[in-house]
Amino acid sequence: MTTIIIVATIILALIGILIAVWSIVDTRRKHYDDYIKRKRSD
Amino acid sequence: MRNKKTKWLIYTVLVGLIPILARFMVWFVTKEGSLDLLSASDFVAFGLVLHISNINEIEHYEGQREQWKTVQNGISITFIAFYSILLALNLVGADVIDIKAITFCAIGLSVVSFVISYSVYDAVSRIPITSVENKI
Repeated sequence: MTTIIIVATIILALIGILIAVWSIVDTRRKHYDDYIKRKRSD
Repeated sequence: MRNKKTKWLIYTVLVGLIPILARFMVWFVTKEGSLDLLSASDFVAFGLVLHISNINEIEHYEGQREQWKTVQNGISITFIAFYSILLALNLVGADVIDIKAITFCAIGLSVVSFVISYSVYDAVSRIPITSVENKI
């Protein structure tokens, strides 16, 4: 039982870290794209 | 932009840390061995506070990023479900499960929850200027 919980925790933690990194990168990319659009329209 | 993250740090992270800090203070003033310094339930509470506030922020986020919202809501719900399992196992007691392992699982997951919550507030605090201008 303990092993199952530990394995599930590791998998969930890895998925969580991947999603957090993806979210931060995606946010920065979107922010940069918006900035470039605004710069071009000025 | 910075204001939103400061508010998150004080109103969400600090409030979520109250059980951990309270236990530390009680542990500090009591006799040695009378109380455990680390408890899984405190870290579960911290994680739950972070993910519930994430869901609330995502609900009110006005940026047009449907996929991002779905992924973040999904991971928050998954974490809440898993924290519930950890809490239930912690309540069942040492006869059935290794409490130390559950405590370390809860600590690890709460650190990941903090990183996820930071990623949500990082996005929420960067609402495009155009969407604010359109409202005015």
